[in-house]
Amino acid sequence: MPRPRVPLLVCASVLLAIHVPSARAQQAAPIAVVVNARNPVSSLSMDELRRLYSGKSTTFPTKQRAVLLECRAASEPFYHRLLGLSPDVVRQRWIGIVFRGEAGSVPLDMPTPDAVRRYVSEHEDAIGFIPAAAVDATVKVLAIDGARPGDPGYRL
Amino acid sequence: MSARRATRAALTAIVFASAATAVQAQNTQIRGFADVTMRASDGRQDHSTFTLGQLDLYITSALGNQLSFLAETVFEFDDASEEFASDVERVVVSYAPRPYFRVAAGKHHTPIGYWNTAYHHGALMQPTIERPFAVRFEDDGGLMPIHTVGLLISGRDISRAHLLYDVMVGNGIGGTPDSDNNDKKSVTLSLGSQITSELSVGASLYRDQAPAGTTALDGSELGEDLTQSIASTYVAYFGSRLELIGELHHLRDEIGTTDAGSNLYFVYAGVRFNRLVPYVRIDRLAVANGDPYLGDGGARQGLVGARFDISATSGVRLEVRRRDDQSGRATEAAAQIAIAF
Repeated sequence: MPRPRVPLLVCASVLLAIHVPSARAQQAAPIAVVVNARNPVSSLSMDELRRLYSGKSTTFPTKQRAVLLECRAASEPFYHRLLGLSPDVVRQRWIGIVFRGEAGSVPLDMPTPDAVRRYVSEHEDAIGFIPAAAVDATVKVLAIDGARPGDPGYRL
Repeated sequence: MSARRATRAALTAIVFASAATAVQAQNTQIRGFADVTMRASDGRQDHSTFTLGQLDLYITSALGNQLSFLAETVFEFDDASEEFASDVERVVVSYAPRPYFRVAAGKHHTPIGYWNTAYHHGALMQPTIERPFAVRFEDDGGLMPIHTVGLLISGRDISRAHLLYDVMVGNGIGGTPDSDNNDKKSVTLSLGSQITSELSVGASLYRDQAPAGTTALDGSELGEDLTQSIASTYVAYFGSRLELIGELHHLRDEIGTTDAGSNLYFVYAGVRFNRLVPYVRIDRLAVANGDPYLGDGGARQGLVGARFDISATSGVRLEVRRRDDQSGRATEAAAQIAIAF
């Protein structure tokens, strides 16, 4: 009896057709890096941002202490684009950083972009990331490698 | 378990429980690590076995502005006494006003090489099931001073070169957490650079003197004063795909007219495919013949394995390794599950 290959292929194609555009849309949506409006920093390089979110640096280039926030809704694309790693792997490395005594805590986990915006607007030393579409006037968006969300060549 | 040990374990548990209730008061975090390993070996005297690893509890506490506390206590089965024992592995009080200046007092991991300061007692955190031969713990047959009780001054992320340094003075060889057996302290100097967020390199020098009568690693007593120096260098790369650590330690023991130099090194390499990391590691202890302090401790090992990160706080590892040391040659397979909680 011949195997029913055609229906299987059709099902797989339909699943891919449904899945791929949504994945691409999620991947394409830019992530904004935001700080308090009073923070003098207005841009960072990708390397400076990588150093902060991989625990290699604990301060802004101005030497002001940086308190890191994660936005759960955007952590998957953010960490993949910034470090090439999944949020789980990044968190495991952060547990190690705290364990070594090099940082007091892992980045603060915020459930929504609203929560990130609220915390950043109330804390001068905070830095976080949210979907660019969720940015409002309460926070300052940083340029990364000279580009802002929506600009050609923006890497987040 | 003797009544004394049971009491000590119970008191330790009470201390941790008390600390847990005070967590909110001063931003104290309590975390822990545990692991279980299964081994099978073709060695003549080895049986396949399950091993309960270290139950590792650590506390970090922000005591105030720029002042913090870290403690790590390990509970593990002690083969010699055939009982569970607790061991305080780290107690560190730190004052860190700036990233480039931190002063810390207590029991530390000696800043020799990369592995010893990057990985401590939680098995989940390290890339392989066990530590490399060169940086094994003192009570696990290690040859180097892995822990030091003393004062550490360190700095990170200095200048555009992202330099890092450590200067440590401690009790050294023959010392205990309570006392030292001479007035000559061990001194460790370490200098490195976090060149990129993924790549770091560094080198260190360690020097200590121990008086005649100090117990050597083979259990004998030193007949004369010993001067030990260790020159180390490392490179470590942790990117999104490739993981690499290489360390070389040249250890020199001088006693009377004897001057013995030994080389300890290892190379670890892994390639990450999302949550899966296949890896290899090569260990070598080239111990000089007649070293008055190390004894005859030469060994080599090669291993291949794979690590799978189930989540941020749990992972499994499988390894096959070929070992050649004082107990003979053996091929061993091991599986480990390790968690953080």
